[in-house]
Amino acid sequence: MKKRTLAWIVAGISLVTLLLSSLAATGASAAADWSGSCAADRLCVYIEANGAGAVHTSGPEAPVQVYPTGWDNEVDSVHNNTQYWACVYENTYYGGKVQALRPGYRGNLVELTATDLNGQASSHKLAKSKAGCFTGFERCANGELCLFTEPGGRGEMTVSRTDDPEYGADRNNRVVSVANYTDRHACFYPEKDYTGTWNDDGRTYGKFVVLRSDSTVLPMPYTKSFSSHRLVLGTSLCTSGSAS
Amino acid sequence: MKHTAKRGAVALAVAASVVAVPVSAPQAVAAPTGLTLALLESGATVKTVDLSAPGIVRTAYAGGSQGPWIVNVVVIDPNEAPLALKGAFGTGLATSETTSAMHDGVSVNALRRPRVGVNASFFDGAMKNPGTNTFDGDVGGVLVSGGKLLSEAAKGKGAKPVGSALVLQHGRLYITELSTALTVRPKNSAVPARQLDGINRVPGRNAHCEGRESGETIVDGTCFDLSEIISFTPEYGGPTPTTAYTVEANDPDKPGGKIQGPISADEGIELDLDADNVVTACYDSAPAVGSTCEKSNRGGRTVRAGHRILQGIGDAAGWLRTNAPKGTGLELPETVTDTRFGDQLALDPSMYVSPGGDLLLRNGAVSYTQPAGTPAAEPRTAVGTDGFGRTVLVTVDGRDAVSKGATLLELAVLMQDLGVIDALNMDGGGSTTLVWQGQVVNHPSDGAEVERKVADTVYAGVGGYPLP
Repeated sequence: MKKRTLAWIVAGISLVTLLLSSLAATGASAAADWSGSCAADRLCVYIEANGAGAVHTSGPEAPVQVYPTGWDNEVDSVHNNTQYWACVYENTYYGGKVQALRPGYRGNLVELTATDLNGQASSHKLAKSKAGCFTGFERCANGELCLFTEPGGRGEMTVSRTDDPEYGADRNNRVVSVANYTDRHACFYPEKDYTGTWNDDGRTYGKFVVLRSDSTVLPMPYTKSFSSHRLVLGTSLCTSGSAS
Repeated sequence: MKHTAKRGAVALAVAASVVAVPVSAPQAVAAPTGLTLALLESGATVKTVDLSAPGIVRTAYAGGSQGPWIVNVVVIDPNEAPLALKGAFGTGLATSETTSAMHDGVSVNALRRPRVGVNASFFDGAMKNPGTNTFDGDVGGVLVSGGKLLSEAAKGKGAKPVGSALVLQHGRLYITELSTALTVRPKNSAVPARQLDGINRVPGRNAHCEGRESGETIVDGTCFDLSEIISFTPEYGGPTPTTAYTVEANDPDKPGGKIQGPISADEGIELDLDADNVVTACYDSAPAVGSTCEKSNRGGRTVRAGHRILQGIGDAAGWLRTNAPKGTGLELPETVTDTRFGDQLALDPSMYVSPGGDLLLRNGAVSYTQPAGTPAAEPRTAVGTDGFGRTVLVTVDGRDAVSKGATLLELAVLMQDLGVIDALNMDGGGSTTLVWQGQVVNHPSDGAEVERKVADTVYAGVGGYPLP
């Protein structure tokens, strides 16, 4: 599993920042009271409202898939001083609710009531477009078959480059979306050792195929049901059982 | 059996109304039409919502209180169904094809063909191959498919230095501007690199440049440079061009339209390069004494798998004669730069890039500036993304009594009203085509709603599927 975490500088919480947080929660103007300073071309997230308290800065090269202790579910305000969109997620690994913040955005998450991520964010990244906030497939590199626990390549990701006859607990019956960036087609099976069947609207199927270079969400009944996979040159080789 | 699901509950909400659209003579409107979403949804409008393709909503409007207009709006949500956002240029870049033919060519299995798609890039519809009696359809900017750069950048619309492009990857659409840097030089040599002028197009003619490079002449947006090296890849899909190619008017809506300039009559030189870019054969119309090239005119040869062909004309042919004799290994570095962010675009196999026209919206704001003069209301195709990252395809029919068309500014505002954040204008006029589950569902303006052959298509296809 890919995990990109950064070295964070975590500062203690002072009475002053607690006060600022309280003001933000009551709808105080972020523009008037903003105290943070964020360098050009950087995304700054703050522990407290109005850019107060401890700050972490990053650029597009350093997404944060896991907020460390002290930051997880603690970020209250954001200054996106870049030309990218800032994507803030409810859960680690770009999971859960998404709040996209436009280039130049500066404000308190409490004011964004549609997502209500104030003190609830657990990961973030920068994307070249707002639409880029709604996908995590870009984490899958060429040559990799990537399996995700949420739609759109979001959530936890596990990576494979070869056949896998028996999924471990990290992916078994957990796959919701797939990016197949290998040079082969991927055949998925509902049981270990490339076996099992699904009943889909009265028809029986033994494999689910994701062609090379494709990424996709998995519909019912295939979602959260994969237990093994093969990588093949042609879909006629998506045989069941041990023969390949 | 481990997992069971009952389908058959796919929502289907198709209005009973059938919109009868009479065929009528082209009726271009050379002024703003007044099109807005509010007007489109008012008056005696027939609004049809089709949910028959999972994950996709197609809304068709016909009417409008100050219209009429016929507008299709398609919203594609890849989180709701196994959908892949992709593009295709048909059997090859050497010819144009209808959007529906390109969709049919995606898979021999009808169930795995695109669910919905539109025509995409602007192209050179006037360059005719007399051997096949087809038009080559050179795309007007960067095209990437299968991890390969297949067409060089063009200059941008208006004052933009480089052209806009749709980047389709990771299930989402990204709109940007792309430049290319292409050179050729002998390997392990002190010979300075020379510019490689283009990929998969007729040498000497670049139909979508909007500026002037050194040595070029320009006529109505078409650049002519009689000293060029052009690279052809197997994706060209046809014999390399010859001097027998002609330029002919090819817009059914504009019969007798302007013919733009000459093409090179120089027979020049043609080189065949293997997978290691070693010159394995050369064909020279005027070989010097001692040349290892066969005496032959350029053109008419098919690019073999893994190979590429270089054509040179004018002074550039002389450069190839001097620096690339048979047996020479060449280097052909190429980079694609995302000029919005200043970084290089990695040409991944999962990516499709199609060049577009005017930028309509960026970050939710109208980006298009209407030039002076009376704007033309035409059939339009636009592609964008909404606030939820979903892809939005829009066609506006026009040149017809039943739909007025739209100006580019009207199109931009319409997209904004639809909740679109980023939007790009694609080829319009008679090229505007919307193919929905294998059928053309808009009303193309050529002739009696004849579907035009275009350069490429962007579409939502099948992302994954079950097998017995």
